[in-house]
Amino acid sequence: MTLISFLLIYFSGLPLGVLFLKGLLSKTAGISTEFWQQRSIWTSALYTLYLCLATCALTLIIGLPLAWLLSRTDLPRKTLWKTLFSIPYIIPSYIGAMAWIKLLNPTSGNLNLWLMSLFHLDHAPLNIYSLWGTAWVLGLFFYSFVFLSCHAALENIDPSLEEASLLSGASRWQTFQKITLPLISPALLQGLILVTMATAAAFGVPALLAMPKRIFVLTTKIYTLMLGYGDGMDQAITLSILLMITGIVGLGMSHLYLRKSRYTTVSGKYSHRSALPLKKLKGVTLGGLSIFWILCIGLPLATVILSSFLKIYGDPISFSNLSLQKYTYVLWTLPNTQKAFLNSFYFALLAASFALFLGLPLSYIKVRTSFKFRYGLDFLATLPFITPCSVLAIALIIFFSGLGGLNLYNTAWMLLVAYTIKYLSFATQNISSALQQISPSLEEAASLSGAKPLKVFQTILIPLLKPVLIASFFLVFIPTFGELTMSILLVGPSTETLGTLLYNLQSYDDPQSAAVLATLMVAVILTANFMVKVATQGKYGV
Amino acid sequence: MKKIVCLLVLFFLPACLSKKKNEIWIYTSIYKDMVEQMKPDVEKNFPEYKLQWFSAGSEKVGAKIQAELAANHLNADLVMTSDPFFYLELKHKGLLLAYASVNAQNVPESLKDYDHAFATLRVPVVVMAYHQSMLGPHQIPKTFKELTEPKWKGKVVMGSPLESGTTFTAVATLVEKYGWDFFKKLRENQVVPAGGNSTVRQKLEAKEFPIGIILLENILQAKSQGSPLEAIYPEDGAILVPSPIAIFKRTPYPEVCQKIVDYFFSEAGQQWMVKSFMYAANPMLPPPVGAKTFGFVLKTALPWNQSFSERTLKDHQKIKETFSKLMYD
Repeated sequence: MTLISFLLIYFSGLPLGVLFLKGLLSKTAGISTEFWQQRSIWTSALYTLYLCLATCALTLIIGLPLAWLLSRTDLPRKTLWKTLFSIPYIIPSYIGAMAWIKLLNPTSGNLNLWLMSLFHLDHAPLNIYSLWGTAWVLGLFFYSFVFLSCHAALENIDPSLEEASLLSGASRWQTFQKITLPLISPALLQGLILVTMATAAAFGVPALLAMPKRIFVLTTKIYTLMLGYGDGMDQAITLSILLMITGIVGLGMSHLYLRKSRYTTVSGKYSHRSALPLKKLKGVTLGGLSIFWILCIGLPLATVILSSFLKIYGDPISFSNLSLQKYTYVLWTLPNTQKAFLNSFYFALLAASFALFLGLPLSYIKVRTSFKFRYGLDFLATLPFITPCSVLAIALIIFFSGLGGLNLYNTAWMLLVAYTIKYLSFATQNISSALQQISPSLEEAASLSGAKPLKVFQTILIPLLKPVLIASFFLVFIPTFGELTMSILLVGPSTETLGTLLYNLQSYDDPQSAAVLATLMVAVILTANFMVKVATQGKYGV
Repeated sequence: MKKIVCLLVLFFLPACLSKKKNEIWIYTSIYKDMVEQMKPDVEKNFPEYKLQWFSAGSEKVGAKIQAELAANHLNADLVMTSDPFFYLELKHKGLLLAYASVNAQNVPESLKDYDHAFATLRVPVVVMAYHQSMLGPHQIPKTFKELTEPKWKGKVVMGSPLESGTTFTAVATLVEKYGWDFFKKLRENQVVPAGGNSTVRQKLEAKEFPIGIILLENILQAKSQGSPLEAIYPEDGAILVPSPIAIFKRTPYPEVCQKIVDYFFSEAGQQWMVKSFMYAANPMLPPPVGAKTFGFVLKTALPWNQSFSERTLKDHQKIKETFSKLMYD
């Protein structure tokens, strides 16, 4: 417990604390009333709120039914569907945004042009440059949080509870409403809290889609402030405190809600679950899922992949406009591509493991113990996530170039620390909600039979938490694999990552090369996932 | 528990001890590809020293330096980015080492600091560009001023000075020249400022807009990759973005840093700037491939002078605010 507290305070609390103090005490920002009276700051806070609400609604609409379909029904090839629906999370979000710009921009968007000719319209019916467009792209990216955590929770529920309800004459819908939904509500809530915080902290997508419409959210506002000379940095830091408050409110709400009721469902008496036969609806469901997948995931994915083969970005797809030259360029002409892939792979692997090793005991402390500062620890684990990447990177540079006793500057450790603390809350949120479902009686039984605490973890908790641990690993691995904003400021001479490469391609080269890298990343992750699945006979992997 | 702590300490220990000798850090906004290409040539002149490069956009380099300063742990020895005002700020803070390189004698005086705290190494220029399949060469606008005409309503894209340093320089120069009225009219013409130069290039290539305000080097590079974009040298003057090089006082190796500056102002060093599609500050060098001569650009460009750049640095916040109010509110 002391170790965990120490690690969190040292790696997350102190660096951010030092930075925030600096911002708050600044004469031009924190303690200046003039700064807080700017209307644009409060408008951007309001837009952040709207964006969060819209994204949450969208992720709920997509994630929950999908989780239910893939865990409760006899839909064929469920694991394939699960992998297919995890793809949007693999594509770096701003590349997804670029694909949607290509499809839905009001002047030359392919989908818009097609709709216009189909319905004989004069105007493009859809405009991706809007708050809705931003919420749409973010929602498609973040529904994985809701989907994966609900799916894991559904898999963990004791089937006898639902069966009992059905046997007592309740309909499927009533059972879902009265039994299933309340039981998975901690997972659902944690998923939505993650979505809210991720949306509030998102930068790339609102920068690409909302800024052109003159809509600023907090993160984009912070970014523009940071570019100023002189006081800009202090003002940016102060403004990130507003984001931090979002985090506190979110966490507070979840604690309040969860404290009211108990959600134990996994209690040891386990029976086999029978899948709900879809019968005649099977065709309709499959058709619906396929259409949804093609429209929302297949189409942008195809856009990314096709862009990577284009010679000239804006020209139509034809044989003369297709080539492999961008691939040879990215893979062989560019120095360091292969090294960047390896580096990122190791870093993501390590960061995801660290996040699990820290996240599991942390969740245990939060859910199972009455440690006085357990919510404080949870908050420290969440704080870095809600802090904008660039601010976090600066906090780490300031603290870990000697001030805090360690000099990690320009080493791989800097990146590892950044990745781990940034995405730690993905692990803690998911694991805590799963832990909430497991009855403490199981652990008690084990310790009564003489098992030491570590043994209890090993034999009871870890096997039960396995699905959620795998999901959390995946949730941390993916964003760190292609992380961009923090990496640029933190890389050392030999620690180049995919993110910095992506940044270079994005800012100096053409969109096609960035698409090449994105395609390669999706391919690598899908292959790795597939290989892990084959090697473990389907036990691990998403 | 103790074991874990020991292990952690063991892991972190090498990181703390890794203070290397003879390391010289160069922070630059020169493209990474180009850095990789010129590295061997630069390094062979300084075999005793280990040159370390950090390359990212000017804004990122700026942020990194600011963070290092806040940590009281400046790591950079040399800096070369494309944000002229940043150097003035560094100079005012007393962080730069004055040095007048003999090799920089040919560089125009207006492009050098009075006190030799920094000197311009390369000059990127902001021009207009168009998509050749959307407009013919006779339909294109000839001046920046022309973009305010109703004819170009909804057809122009530019970067945002809040996001990109070069765009900030462009806005400051255009305001100096035409006043804020120019941007008021651009707003009426539905000009949408977003992102940096790469965003503008992308929006042009995707045919979202036929005309853009963008760095010449982005267009030259795009053309070298087969892109259908073409540059327009505005008759009312391209915008200069002088990009200096400077030595930090903190460097433990001032003489070596001065030699590196000498190298960059030598013909061998300057040709790398030309290869990166920018004008070399030394007018003796040829223009980049596919570009008009530097003399041609200088004829119409608003001449650079230090009082303009002092004023802009002082007013930068106001410029950004006025711009945001005009273009975004």
